[in-house]
Amino acid sequence: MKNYFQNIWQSITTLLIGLGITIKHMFKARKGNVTLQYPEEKWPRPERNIGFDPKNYNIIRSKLHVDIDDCIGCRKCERACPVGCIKIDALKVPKETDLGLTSSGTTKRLLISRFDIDMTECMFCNLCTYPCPEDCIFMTGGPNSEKQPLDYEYSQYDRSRLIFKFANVTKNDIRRITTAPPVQQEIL
Amino acid sequence: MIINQKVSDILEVKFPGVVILPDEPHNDFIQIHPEKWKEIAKFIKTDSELKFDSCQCITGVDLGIEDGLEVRYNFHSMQLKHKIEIRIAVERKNPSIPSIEQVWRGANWLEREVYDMYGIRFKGHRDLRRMLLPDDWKGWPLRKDYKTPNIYNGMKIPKVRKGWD
Amino acid sequence: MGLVHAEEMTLNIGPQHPSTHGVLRLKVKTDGEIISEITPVIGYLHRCFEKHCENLSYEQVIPFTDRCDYIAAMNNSFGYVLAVEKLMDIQVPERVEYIRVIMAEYNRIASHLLALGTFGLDVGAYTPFLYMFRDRERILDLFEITCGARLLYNYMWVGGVSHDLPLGFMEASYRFLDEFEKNINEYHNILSYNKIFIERSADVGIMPKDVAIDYGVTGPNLRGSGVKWDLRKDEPYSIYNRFKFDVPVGTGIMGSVGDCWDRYWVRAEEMQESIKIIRQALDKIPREGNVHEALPKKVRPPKGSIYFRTESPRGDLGYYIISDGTPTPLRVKMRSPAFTALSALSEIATGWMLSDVLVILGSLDIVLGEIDR
Repeated sequence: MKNYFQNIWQSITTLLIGLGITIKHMFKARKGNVTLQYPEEKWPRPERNIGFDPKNYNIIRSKLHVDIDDCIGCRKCERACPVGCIKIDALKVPKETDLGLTSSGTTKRLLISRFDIDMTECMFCNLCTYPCPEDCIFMTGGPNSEKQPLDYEYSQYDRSRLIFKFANVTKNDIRRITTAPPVQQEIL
Repeated sequence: MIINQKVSDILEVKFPGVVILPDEPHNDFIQIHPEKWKEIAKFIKTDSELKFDSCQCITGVDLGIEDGLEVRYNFHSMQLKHKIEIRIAVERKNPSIPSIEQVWRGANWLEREVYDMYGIRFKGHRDLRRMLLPDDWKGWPLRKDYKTPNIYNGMKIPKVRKGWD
Repeated sequence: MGLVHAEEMTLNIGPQHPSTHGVLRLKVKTDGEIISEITPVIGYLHRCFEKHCENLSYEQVIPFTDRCDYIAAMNNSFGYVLAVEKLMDIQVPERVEYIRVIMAEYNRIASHLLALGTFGLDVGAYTPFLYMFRDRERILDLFEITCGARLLYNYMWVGGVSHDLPLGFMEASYRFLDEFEKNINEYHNILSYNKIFIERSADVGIMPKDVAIDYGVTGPNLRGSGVKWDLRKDEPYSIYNRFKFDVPVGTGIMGSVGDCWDRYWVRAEEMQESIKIIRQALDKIPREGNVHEALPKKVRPPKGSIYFRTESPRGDLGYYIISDGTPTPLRVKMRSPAFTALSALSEIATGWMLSDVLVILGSLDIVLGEIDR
């Protein structure tokens, strides 16, 4: 009998303690809030509790971006990808063709006719960005936001539109460049 | 480690000829014959000097099409705090090995998983079914000679994607 | 006074059920409300981890190990990289060791917070779950500034870590730990000592010592049964031998040793120990150092095999790696602690009421990603 009432007493007191904590939280909810009101507030939020500026992040995992003008077609990113979501076609061009320089001064020797990234398959492991010798494939935002602003809202109605095609050469360009002009062949 | 040598010596006394001596001395594991495996298992679990009371891991291995299959057991003793690895080779055609499911109850699921992936039959296992794969799956996926089927229950593998290749 | 004879009823829980912590199916045979037989059916989340590994290089496996136990991804890749490093005989820099320990312990806290929160949810307490997720969120924030990801980090590399700690990480860490220590007491008040919670979990689903060892159950579940076994203490890997911490074991304060409340309590106490380890590591970490110093040019371990165990939040996580000297492993087997813990469910849940099954399942803290691999 004593036990019975003791149980009831314990239940009520422990419940009240819990309720007290909840009420305390109700009044200071604004301060320790971690929820984002999504469409109005967007991530990353610098004034978040942890107090970090997105510029100070080591990296932000988001959409992959390629500066195709800097790409030399070494295919290191393609080999590094564990799921095979990067596809590169690089064409050999005649020796004399000038494809220009990358921003770090490397001569480009291959014509990138295809550089597709399938973001439906990407698992954001970031492994493709480390081996790149020209730093031309990277995840947008964070420390890279000067090069490319953060982009994580790229939903589409059709899956095939999530395959991002970065190569900017047309079929005409390919035909023009890969078949070398006859004048140069005569010089050779 | 000394424990390997110790276990090897004790087993040699108790079950003569069961330990396959290595070509060159090493201390990583003990290779034994599969015939008396269940008795040996019972022995090393209860022997006061060994007391391997916990079956940590059972790994099926396919060392290549020529070399054949192997089952590797990792045991651990919670009381004496030592561990050991025991390897048992099995043939590729119709592989079978005595089950230790009734010795360590934890071996039940671990053995089923090895059966699931390699098709090694554990003689005496009371509930030998597929563990992770569906019951109607054909073949033993982790064997080196396994070929990925093109069709499973009418579904095409792999899926063809639009705009890619 | 005729006894009512009723047939046994087979009940199907899952695969899609909020309390099964993933896609787990339980075939339950009930006699009235008492469970006479329970069979877990797994494999709904099988993603061929081990088959994948045969076709990937050693570095490429790391993101997949993260995805096995997605609640404690740091600990999973920690075990994997330690195994490969031991196979290759790499010495990593001091700073890397400390960073790894800090990250692994943070992830342990985050994982235990989720385990305790969802355990409360299974019992019926919704509020503590939200508070625990708030603190977990802060830990994920710390991970995010370090490696960009919140759940699947790919942070530990063979021979190093992917990024150094960012500026201000230390201050943020200390601030978080100070706040979090106070919050733990709050959790105890709101959940651990709640009479209703105790009634639901104490003296329920008792796992005796010998059953736990026989089934190969490890980690907090084993310690909840009163066995003092922690790989960080008994078989120290990495630099765990440099830290002072205790190994909490279940003592059966509220019921008997090895009940659900004990398993819960061990996890709650382990968070305190993790805080101790993180504090010591933050104090002792070398301020300078290149985290990419020991990265091998090519990860190509010599021929051989290794079975390496680490203490993940769920127990002894073992990796069996066989290398044949090529850049891809011949075999990577993951011995997942949740797998063995779930195999013991049929033993410990038999004979209890149907409503207790989900409590027992919640107290085992399983992650289906790791069970099915």
